[in-house]
Amino acid sequence: MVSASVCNPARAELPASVCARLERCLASGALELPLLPQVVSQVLAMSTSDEVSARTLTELLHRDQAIAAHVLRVANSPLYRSHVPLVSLQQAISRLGITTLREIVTTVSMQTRVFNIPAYTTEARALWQHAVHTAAYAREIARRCRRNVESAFLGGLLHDVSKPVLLLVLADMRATLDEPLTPLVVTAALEVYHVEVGMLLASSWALPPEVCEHIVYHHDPYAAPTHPESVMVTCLADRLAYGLMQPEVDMEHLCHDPLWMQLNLYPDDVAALLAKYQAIVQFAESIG
Amino acid sequence: MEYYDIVVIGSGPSGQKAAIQGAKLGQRVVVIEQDVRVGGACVHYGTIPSKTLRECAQSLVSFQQRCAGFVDLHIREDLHMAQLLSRLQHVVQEHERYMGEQLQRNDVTLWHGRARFVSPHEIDVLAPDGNHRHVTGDIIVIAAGSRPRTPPEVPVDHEHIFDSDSMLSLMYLPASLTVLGSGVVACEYASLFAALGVQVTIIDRYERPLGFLDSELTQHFVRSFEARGGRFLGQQRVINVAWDGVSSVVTTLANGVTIRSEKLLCSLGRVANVEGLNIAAAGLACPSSGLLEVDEHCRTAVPHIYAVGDIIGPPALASCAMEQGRRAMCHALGQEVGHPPELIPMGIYTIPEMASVGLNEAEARQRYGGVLVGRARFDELARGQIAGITDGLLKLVADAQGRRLLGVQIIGEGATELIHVGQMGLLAHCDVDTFVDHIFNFPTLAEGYRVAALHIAKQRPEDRDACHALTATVYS
Repeated sequence: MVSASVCNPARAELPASVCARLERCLASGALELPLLPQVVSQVLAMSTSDEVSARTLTELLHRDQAIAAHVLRVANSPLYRSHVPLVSLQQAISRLGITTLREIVTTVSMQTRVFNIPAYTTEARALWQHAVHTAAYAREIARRCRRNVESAFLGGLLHDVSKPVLLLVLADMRATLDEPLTPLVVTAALEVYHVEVGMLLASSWALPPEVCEHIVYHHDPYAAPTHPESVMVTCLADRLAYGLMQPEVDMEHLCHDPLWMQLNLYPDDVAALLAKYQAIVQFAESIG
Repeated sequence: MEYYDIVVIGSGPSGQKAAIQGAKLGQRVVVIEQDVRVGGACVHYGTIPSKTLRECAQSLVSFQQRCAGFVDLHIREDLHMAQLLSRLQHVVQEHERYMGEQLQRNDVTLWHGRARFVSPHEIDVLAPDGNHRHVTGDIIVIAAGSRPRTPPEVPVDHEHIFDSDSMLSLMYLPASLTVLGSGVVACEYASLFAALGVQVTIIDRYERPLGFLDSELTQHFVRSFEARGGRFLGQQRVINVAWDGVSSVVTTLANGVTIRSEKLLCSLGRVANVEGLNIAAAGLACPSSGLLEVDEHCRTAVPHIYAVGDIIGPPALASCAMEQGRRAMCHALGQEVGHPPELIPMGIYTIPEMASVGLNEAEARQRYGGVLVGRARFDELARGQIAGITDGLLKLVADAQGRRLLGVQIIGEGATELIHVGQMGLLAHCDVDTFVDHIFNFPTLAEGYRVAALHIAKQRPEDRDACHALTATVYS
């Protein structure tokens, strides 16, 4: 299970004791995807108000990776699933109806652990923000390439869904570790283990196969067994979301990413997509 | 700057055939393709994918019909587009491979990039990585194709509101679908999704779909479509299309009616890919129609520049485009090509299929006055009953004397193949009696030609009595 993480250069930043504890924890399979406190409060407020519109619920589903992943998992469980496996959030909304979805969302928020660790508030917020930026970029790239937009958005939103899980694991470990978990160590731990934890989550939650490929192969889309081009969209969106958040954006580097060519996007397409940066940031801010 | 004898812009059916013909005549040919794959919209977004998906849907429908009574067969609710499209991927890859190999075998060079005229003989090619190359050619063939037309009032987002190029990116079968337009592409998609159990509504401003076809065929099509749960709303004007932000696309009609559906397909025609070509630099005028103007040899106003395929407009059929490419190249190289085809058969891959060649009943009446029409219903043909292909009609249109064959129209499974019998009959100037006097395999759907010919014979005033006994035997 740890073979890929062993090769990751970021592992050099991790103390051996942290690696050992993390790997023991991951091997036990006790993984939980936490919700952010503000999401839980929104859901609970929503569930007590009859006035909450279908649009509010739809927006909530589309803006949070944790709630989206939970809803997909529960909606595909035997309790709710009819004959149709749900492979996108929009499909879940259309097929299950708002009343059932509100029930699922409320149940999820009641049963799921709240991610409320003051020490990692900044990290959690950054992860959420990156997920939303990636999803929004993936959606725009997919539109441009005439690829499935719903799938691209979901892939972008969930590609790093394992990182909050790891953050929660690290938060639990903090008090019992001999050495401090510096921001550098936390970042390295997320980097080293997130793909493998993603594999575990995808498998244990039986997420739709295409979503699993986004989670597992978003750093190596060419290796994706069945949907390499879809995963390329996520990979490119991931790079754009990271790149554009840097204080000094290396536009030259972003513009010459070979994935543009793989997706047959020309310089004018690239320029049009890069020009959406402000709109994407505003989108993330508006829903934050 | 590189030089080739012939530069072809576009690798769709017309460009490919032009390139191969040029190469076979000993020329050095380069094809410039803006997509990473060869084949154009025909292979990747249009003809091949939609027909492959249709074949899957039709197989399901046929199987249901043939097994009715002893197998309770329903289309699985969890049938995914991906499953339906898995065969499509294979078909498209094979087609692309074969086309690529054909170009390679004929030593045709392929460049990946967007073409733009710099002068009448020089073209700038922009690769996706931003690099430019220049090429000059003695002969230039523009085969740049077309793309879906999107009116400003329809906000196509490829997520809830699709065009025909993005329609097959759907990941799952929607519960309901609105189709704007009732042309060939609209009706093909509408009928195939209806066959797969999707609630489909076609909305168009015209009274009936596919207005260029025989009205009896289109009425038959609407009946079949509505029998599968579809709905055709003709003579309607769409004033607004909008995603409601939750779960439905809302289409508002001028009469105040709103139609909600999970997805919407906007299929309101196609526009030629002209603007990126900078045709003014080639010495060509920018056409107001949006289409390049050509003569009967597909030559533009600039003698060494030809244009073929969708970029010159109707009939915008892949079959015609291929022939245009071949003929244009032969003409450019001074080869004898004979007369252009007199008769172009038309195949529409709806469920059920429709096909037409020659004049339809209304056109024949307009041109010749009186006509006689012979009909053969598929449910009266032994083969139709055996194979469960009972939803169909074959029409022969003859002159007022019931002798000269003027046209053939068919609706029903196999129509696009069956039509070629009629096409050959028309090309050979066969008398209607040819279909009566010669033997067809029994049981076949082609036997419908004989039944329809007998129906005409029965209507001839002078032959009415003589034919009575024969027709009675055939119909019994």
